Amino acid sequence: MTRDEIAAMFARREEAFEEMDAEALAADYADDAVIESPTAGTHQGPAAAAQALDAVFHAFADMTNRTESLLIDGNHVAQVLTLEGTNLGGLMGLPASGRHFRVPAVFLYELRGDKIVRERRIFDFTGMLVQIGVLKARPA
Amino acid sequence: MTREEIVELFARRDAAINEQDLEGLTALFAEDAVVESPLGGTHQGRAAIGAVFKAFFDAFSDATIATDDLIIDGDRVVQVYTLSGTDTGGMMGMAPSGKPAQLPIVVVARVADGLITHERRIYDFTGMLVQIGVLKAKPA
Repeated sequence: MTRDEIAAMFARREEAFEEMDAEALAADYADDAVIESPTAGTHQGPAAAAQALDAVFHAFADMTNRTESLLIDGNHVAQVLTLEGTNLGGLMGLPASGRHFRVPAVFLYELRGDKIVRERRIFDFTGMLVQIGVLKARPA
Repeated sequence: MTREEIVELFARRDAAINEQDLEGLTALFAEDAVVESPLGGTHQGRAAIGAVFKAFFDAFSDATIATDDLIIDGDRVVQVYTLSGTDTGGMMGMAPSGKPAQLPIVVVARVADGLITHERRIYDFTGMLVQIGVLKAKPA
């Protein structure tokens, strides 16, 4: 893919995320794509990706994913973004807390052709769980 | 800067961290560089940047990093590395716990004239504090 094609792909993905369209987002993954997510663990392929995204969209019905910068280096992409949402649907077997979170994040991608073959998401996941009330943290 | 110069700059950053070479490390930053760090907050200038690195080295005397990915797009860089270290010196006013931590860390940087001008670190900071025992976390 050209640089412009990759930029267009990620602009389209941001729109799909805003619309919480898990199927459209999942269609960008190759069958053997490996996704490393703090929320869903390591999972593989479009069906697992759709399931993990659906779980996130169910938990955070007002979720936003605002891209601050997109770095494109050949077939490698780094997306720097802010994740924000309210725990309206419950997470990890716990009832909805109604609490809001906001964290900076970096999602890293490797592409093959027009598909994502690897994605790794890095952010303060433990801090997010504390913000939404799934975890309680206190000084030791 | 050329791609090769940026790769070399970040290789020197890795080496300086692994050797805990404070002087060599701070010399890689512009005089007025800004660093945004969960540990040190937003700080500016070599003296402040060095002070935060020193606090980190004092806490983790055996800290090492290994780069997983380096994504370069013009003057923008995303470096992903794995940090391994033990809380041998205490952190945030706490006594040393002797507990190890291992986690991925992302550096989002800008470079110019051979130096880092802006650096933002994104990682599971809260999770790191739990790993080394500064925080205790439990399900809510």
